[in-house]
Amino acid sequence: MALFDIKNLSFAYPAGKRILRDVTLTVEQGDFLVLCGPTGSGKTTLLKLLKPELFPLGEKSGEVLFEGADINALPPEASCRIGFVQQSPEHQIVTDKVWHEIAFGMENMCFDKMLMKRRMAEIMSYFSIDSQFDTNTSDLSGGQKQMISLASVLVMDPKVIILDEPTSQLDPVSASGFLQTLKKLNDELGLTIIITEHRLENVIPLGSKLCVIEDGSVTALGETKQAIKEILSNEKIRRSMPGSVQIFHTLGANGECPLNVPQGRAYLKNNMPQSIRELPEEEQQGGSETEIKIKNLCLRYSKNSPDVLNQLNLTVYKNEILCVLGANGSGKTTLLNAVANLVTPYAGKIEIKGKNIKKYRGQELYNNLLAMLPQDVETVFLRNTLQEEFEKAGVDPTDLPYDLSYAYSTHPYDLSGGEQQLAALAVVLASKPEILLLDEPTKGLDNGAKATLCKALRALKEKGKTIVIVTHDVEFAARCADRAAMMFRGEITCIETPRRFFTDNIFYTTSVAKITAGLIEGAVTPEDFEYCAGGGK
Amino acid sequence: MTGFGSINPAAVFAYFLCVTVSGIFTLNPIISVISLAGALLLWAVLPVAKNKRTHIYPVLLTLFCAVGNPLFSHNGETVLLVINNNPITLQSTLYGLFIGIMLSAAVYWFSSFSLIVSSDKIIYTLGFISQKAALVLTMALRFVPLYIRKARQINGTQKALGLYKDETIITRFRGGVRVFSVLMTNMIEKTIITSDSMAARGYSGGKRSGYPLFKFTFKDAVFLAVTVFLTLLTAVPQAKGALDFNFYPHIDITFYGVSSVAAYTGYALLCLCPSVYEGSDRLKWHYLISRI
Repeated sequence: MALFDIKNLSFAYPAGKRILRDVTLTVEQGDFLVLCGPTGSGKTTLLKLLKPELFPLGEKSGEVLFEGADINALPPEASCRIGFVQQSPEHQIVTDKVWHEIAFGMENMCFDKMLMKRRMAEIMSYFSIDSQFDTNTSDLSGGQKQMISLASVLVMDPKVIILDEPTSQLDPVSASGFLQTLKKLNDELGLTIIITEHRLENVIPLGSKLCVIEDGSVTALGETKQAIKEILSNEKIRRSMPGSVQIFHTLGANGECPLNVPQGRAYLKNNMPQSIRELPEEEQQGGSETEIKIKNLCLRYSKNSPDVLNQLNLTVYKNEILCVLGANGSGKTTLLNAVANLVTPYAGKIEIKGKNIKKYRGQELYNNLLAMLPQDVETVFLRNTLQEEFEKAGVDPTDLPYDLSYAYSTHPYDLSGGEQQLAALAVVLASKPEILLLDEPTKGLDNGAKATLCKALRALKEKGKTIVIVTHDVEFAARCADRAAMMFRGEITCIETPRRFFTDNIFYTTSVAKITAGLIEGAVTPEDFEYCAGGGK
Repeated sequence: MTGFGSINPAAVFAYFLCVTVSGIFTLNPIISVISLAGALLLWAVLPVAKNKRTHIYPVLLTLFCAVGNPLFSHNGETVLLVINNNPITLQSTLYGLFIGIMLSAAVYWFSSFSLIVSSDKIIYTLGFISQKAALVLTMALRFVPLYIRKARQINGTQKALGLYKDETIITRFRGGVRVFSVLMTNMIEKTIITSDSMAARGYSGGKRSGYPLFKFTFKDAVFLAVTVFLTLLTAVPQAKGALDFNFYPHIDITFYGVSSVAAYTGYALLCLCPSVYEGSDRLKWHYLISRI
């Protein structure tokens, strides 16, 4: 008996278009099923249709069986058996302390007191989070919060855990830690896992099955390696696959599909292309005129805390895109805030256009000169529709390198992550800044949206803007940056053109660079690889 | 936590309730002085980091009452001086002083209370009355830091957008309204996620239980029993008038022999309870360590 038996499921929101069409899918006990597809393809809706408490309102046809029984007829106690973890680490946490968050579900189900204590002890030990028992949930990092959310669901002993983009708000290190935990649960306990993700690099190698959904219909389904072969001809989906899959495709897609870096390297060695075309020499992009000059900048948040920025030196040239990469807590966001004059350093100097930042009075700095887009772009929006938002801010839509007019009547919060990012960018551009500071602009974006954003930023650069981006996203930086910088413990440790940067880095680099290291010089993106491998043609 | 802090929160709550309520409702200056002494002693022996500035408020409060009361209340037979044809009396001054001491005692009791009672303990105790109320409290405690941080973020965002001015008071006020409005929209949007997360973990608004974070041991039962006994020892004679005290027209204390002695000693012992417990616990550790 399958765990979930989904038969001809269709769904439409009231007065909306059909979001799921005739989905048929079987999930067996112990499966690790990865669901992928572009934003708006109906992944989240499908997941919610598997959890009775979260059923969306709308018109449904077809049926969903859970352990052979109709899911609509499940008794309320059964909610324990289907766990659900959402995207937002911040808002799915309910209580103020870690222990209470984990006890929350058990309290709702009125578990016996002894059982509660026992399960608490088990889960805390399994996740080795016992030291966080008394911690305030607000003091945890995003990755820790997601881990607590997972633990708080697991403690109720579910048969299956459904996760809706659980790592899209996390940095790469926390994200891979979280996914490894899922893998461990799947391997050690045989827990069934159904997960959707945008960032497929890490999750695809872990999954046992892959299901691709496009426009509400299943376009590929099966054992991971098999399903990938089915979608290779679909460029949009292929572009979102791990680097090894793209290399596999470029090399002709013969044999078994490699899913991770070692498999990718082995495949590349065995199928080395006949002739390799050298990549053209990278030219220093952007101007040479200094736009921002930072000298020996030191900053700390309180008297006795360590320095967040430590003797930092950085020069940003006019008309370039600079990506600053680095781990959590390396001071990236603080650097941006210091340049935007939102925090005050205790030593050192920031010059913008040759003038000390302290000499800019009042709003002078933000008038037609510098603007910052924060990590949480929702904090930009004030109005009920995008149109009102644009009118109030004085956005001239003809001035934008992209078009959002189709979404004018939408509430800004109802836009997808990518659209929100572009809309916020438009609002920020209304003050006609010459320097743009962006904090983690690709957080929660799918591949298509990242490509659009990258194009928009390149177009703005063509118009003469200087752009500084702080990001975790190595793949995005490799595509978008003119120069990439690495930040560590409050200083910039190296700054180079992206190709040099990602070729010379060993650990902190793109997956294509990891696969091609020592085999093909300088290929850091799938496009680079295509160029090199296509040498003979 | 050791000592008084290790006692079951429900018993601790009962203790603070008894000691403050009976300290205030007797309206007796001797009881108030005992209460203040007991509260100060406990505050001093609690083994947690304390802020010396706590003392400022009780001192100011006492001065304020002692000076303020005779200016408004002119009862009492002993006139000390006359201001603007209004007599300032000794009894009225003493009454003010008494109110000041009574309130100061309460300040110290509450200060000690907040030093040892964490939010967990409040939620645990509230759970005996209503699990739903306890849940609301823990959610509120989570919301406050979350939205303070969010408001700061929004403020930074709106400032660095470069679209708005904040040079005059009016534009600054508008800026504040803008931040508040974004915050509200954000809160409402995000609560949907929280409510989904609650529903997904079986919350239905129905009956729920509480996680047994604290044990109720024999020691806690003894502490609770002693608290109740000493409170009754004070309250029963008081109901009969054994603690009556009059300020006006002249100071007059009623003494009822055994029942008054019982009431005063009962209250004094009640006030000493936690300090004695704290002290004995520390002695025990001291001897344990010297034996090791």
